[in-house]
Order: sequence, then C-alpha cells, then structure tokens
Amino acid sequence: MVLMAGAVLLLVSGLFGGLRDAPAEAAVPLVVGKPHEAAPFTLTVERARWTSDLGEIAKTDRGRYLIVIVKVRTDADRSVDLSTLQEALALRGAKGIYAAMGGDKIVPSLEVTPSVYVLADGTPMSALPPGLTYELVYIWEQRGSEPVPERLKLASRSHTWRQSSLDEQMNWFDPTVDAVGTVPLIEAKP
Amino acid sequence: MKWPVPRRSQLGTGALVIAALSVGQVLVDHLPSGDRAGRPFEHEVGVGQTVALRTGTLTVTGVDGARSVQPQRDDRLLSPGVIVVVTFDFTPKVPETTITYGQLRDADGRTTALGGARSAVSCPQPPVGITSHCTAIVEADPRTLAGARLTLGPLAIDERFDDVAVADLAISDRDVATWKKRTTPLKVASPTVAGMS
Repeated sequence: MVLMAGAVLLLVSGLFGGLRDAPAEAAVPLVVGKPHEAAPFTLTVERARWTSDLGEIAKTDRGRYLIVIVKVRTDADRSVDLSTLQEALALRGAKGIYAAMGGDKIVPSLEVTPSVYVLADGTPMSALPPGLTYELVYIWEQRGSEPVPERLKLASRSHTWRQSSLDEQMNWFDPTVDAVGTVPLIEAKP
Repeated sequence: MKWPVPRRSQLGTGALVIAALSVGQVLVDHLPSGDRAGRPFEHEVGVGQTVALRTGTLTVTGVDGARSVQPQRDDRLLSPGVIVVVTFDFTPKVPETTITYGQLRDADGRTTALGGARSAVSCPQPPVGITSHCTAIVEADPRTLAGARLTLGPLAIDERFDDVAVADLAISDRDVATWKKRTTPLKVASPTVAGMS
C-alpha cells in the first residue's frame, strides 16, 4: 500500500518536473566581477575569451576554445578535489561543445566537464588548497561549424559536505545550480 | 474481522530478534566509531630524524620553500601562496612498498592533500633494504605555514589502519618571509633510488 502510494506520488510529481534539476532561472544572478559564494568556493567571474591556440596547452583546427577566467578560493578547512572545482562552473546553452578537449563526442554544454588550468603558470590545476586565491582558466572546446557566441551563459554550482552512502567517506556532493549569468565573449589577442 | 493470533513459537522468534537487535545496538554504542577505530598509527619525526614504520624507515632530510618551484627542467609552478618542498629518504622493509600518501596540516589545523599536478609525493619503489630519495611538494597559505606538519604514509588512497610518519617541519615565520622573497624558482631534485643515476 505504502509502495503504491509512493509510486503514485512519484508519477504525479513527474507532471511538475519530477526528479529533474530545479530550473536555473530560480538561481540568483552571477555577475561579472562580483564574488559569489558557491560552497565550498568563492567564485569571481572576471572575463571570457575565445581562441584556437592555447600555446603549450593545446591548439585546435576544428573550432575554438571558449575560455572563462575566474578567481577562486576556498575557506573550507581542507583542500577541495579538482572534480568539485570542475563542477563549480558550467556553460549553459552553448551549441557544439565537445565532452572533453580533444574528444569527439558533442554533449549538452551543461554536462561538459571543463579543463581547468592555472593562469599564472599554465599548468593543470589540481586540488585547491584552503586560504589561497587562484586565477583559474576554465576551458571548453566548441566545433567550428557553430557561430562564435557573443556572450557565454554561465551557471555556478554549490555543493554539500556530507557522508557518502556508499563508502561513508565525507566529501562534497550534490552539485546544484545556485547562480546564473552571462559574460561577454571576445577574441583573445595573441 | 478476525485478527490473526500469533503462535508461541512466532512470539519467541520475535522476542529473540528484538533481543539480538538490542544487543547489537549496545555493542555499536560502546565500540569505537569508524573514524576512531580506523585512525592511522602516527609516529612523530623531526627534520634530520629517522622513524621506523611498519613498511620501512623514513628520514626527513630537508625542508625548503619558494613562491615558484621547478620540479622538471621545462616545468615551473607559480603559487599565489608558498610551495613547500620536503625531501626524505625511505628504505622499505617489506616488498613492493613506498610512500605515496601525503597531507599537510597547517597551524590552523587546515589540511591539504598531496595528490595531483601541483601538490604531490614522488617516491620511487625500491627493493627491500635499498633507499629511495623522495620529495613532497605542497602549496600552502603562508599566513598559517609556520608550525605546519606533514603526514607521510604508504597508501595514497587510504591512510587508515597503518603506520604514518608525522613530520614537524620546523618552519618559522622567518623561513616563510625568506621563501616569499625568493625571485628565482627553487629547483627540485628528481626522486632517485640510491646507487642508480
């Protein structure tokens, strides 16, 4: 009886979106140049550029790289894994985005895991130590048949510190869109 | 409507189940929690000192730091904080072991895991009885670096239930100030096995 009631509730909830993510429109504005708290980070989106030549990092002849430069810090009491850092910023509604730099698969841009590099030295970012502010470069690759967007639509995601139900380890889980905004995209000067 | 009447054996089984659950709950309440029971066995060590672990002996040989380090010939890391470079020797006494776990704990108790491109433990796996010369590199907040300690252990993904070395790095505020002023990248020696070039 209880199971049946649960199933009915689930079916009815499906009419209103069910288990889908809450709509991004419910999030607060993500404003260029303004710090935004998205646990466990404070993110400040600085600017966006596009280029097909990232120097020693990568070059592409099949499209372009969309780049967002973001100041990021954490005031958590422990370093935060790269995967959490990658989930903290997403591209919304951009067409023709590859699932990974150099990969072949095109997926919805919100699902793409960006590559993250340190602006100061051009090396790949790893875990973010507590108390330090980094200028990070978030990179997505877009195929050349798509027009260059005039603005990038961004979403920041916050996480929750909780115990894993699988291995009982504590970590940051449940990325949830908490702010959305746009940033003008211009071509990077060599 | 007639309610079913349980038999005596069913009542007995039910009572046994409830008793077993109660005993289990009491045991769970009195046993150490998973976190406490799984804590690693910490062995304190200072710079220039040697400590014996289950898997081998570890000697901390040096501590240095800078804003920028050069771990490879063409590589350069530039930190918004300070990069600490710790050198240590490890001599295994059991086969196929080395040091791959590292964690820095700063003066405020904040921790940074060593694992990835920018903060890492590099230690070759030598045969039993042969010494590896190893390095640990970690980025840290200079404001809370004096008094930091570095934990080193054999298994990168899980330090629980095993011996780990906890090194007091003896870093002072003066050291940190000196490291911040360095203008040239600090070169980091590649890890090696003794007797091999």
